[in-house]
Amino acid sequence: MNVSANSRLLNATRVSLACALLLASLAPLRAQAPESAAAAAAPKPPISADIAAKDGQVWGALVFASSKPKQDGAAATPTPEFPDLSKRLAKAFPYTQFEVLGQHSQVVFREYESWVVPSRDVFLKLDSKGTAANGGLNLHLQFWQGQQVLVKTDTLLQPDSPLFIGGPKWRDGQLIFVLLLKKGK
Amino acid sequence: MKTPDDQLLARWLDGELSADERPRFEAMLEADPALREEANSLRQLGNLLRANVDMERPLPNADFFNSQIQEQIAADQRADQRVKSTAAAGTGTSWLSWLRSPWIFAGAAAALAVGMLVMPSAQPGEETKVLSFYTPKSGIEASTYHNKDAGATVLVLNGLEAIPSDRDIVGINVHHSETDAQVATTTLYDDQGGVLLVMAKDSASKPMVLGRSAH
Repeated sequence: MNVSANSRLLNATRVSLACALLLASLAPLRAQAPESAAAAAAPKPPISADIAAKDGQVWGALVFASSKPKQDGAAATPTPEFPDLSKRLAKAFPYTQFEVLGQHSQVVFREYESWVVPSRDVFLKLDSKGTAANGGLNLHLQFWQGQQVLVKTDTLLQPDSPLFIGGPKWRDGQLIFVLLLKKGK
Repeated sequence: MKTPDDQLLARWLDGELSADERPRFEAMLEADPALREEANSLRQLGNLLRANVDMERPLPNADFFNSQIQEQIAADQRADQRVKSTAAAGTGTSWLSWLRSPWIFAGAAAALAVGMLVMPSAQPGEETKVLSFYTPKSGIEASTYHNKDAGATVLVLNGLEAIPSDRDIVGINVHHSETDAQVATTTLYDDQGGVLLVMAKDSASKPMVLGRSAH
């Protein structure tokens, strides 16, 4: 056997070893492949307040403010989360009547966006930017009217210090969005 | 400047003369036709005003206006404080000269009046702060301020298009929600566990509200 033949044999051996090693390394992966595919196909449970990491809880409401007295005599919608809502709104907006159209209590997820939707027409998107001192919460807010974002804001929300957003005029008054950070988590 | 007779006349019209003063003044009226005529004119004028002017007309939106006055006074005081701080370093003006300013009395009186009118309702503590804002649509302008009396931070949006009056804005009461991360939707439930709406996003990441009848 000459040098050239030895060299070819060595190369052939190297290639065989490489193939064997490659096959050996792939074997466990091939065995696990059906399980991984099944796991990927399995539906993940929805993210709810019970299982997801959360940074706080907010209460939001859509209020119709006007100075026209109610004619139908309907009782005002109770807002146990914000008992003196009308009184405080009256100090910030030039109206005498404040009707809560809808309200929404919502957990603020740490990793996912959260929505506060007291109406399908006007709503807020919230992204947590982390908690702050004294129970505060840093939020990126987007105030939407339908498919149009009216304002984007970074806000430090504090408990018992609501945010009033003056929305569009409607009929003989104005829509106002109220966002309140609840105490504790 | 009122003469002693004018003062007596005014007090007589208001029924404020003492038992001694009243007969003396009425004797003067008898003796002085000009004074008597003036008294009659003023009495008729007073009756006319009382009959036609509501003396206790309620102030519309009193809470709002009181609140705004207080906000303005607070802003003025902050501005004054800034000016004072700046001036104190350079001019060396005595604080006594500032106190001698006639405006200080007017400001103090206004603050006292507002303070008596408006009872503070907000509790002291940390306040919500709007750190930054951005209005993507041209024509919309945002501003923000903290309304101490309301105990709230207000975000004002000017230039918004009014919603047509014939459009119904219907509210909903959402009890809780669940988010499906795989399909990026959030389902909103009422307090009975019924589905109210599903929030999703289109290809441009704009929100889509699914469920219930659209307008």
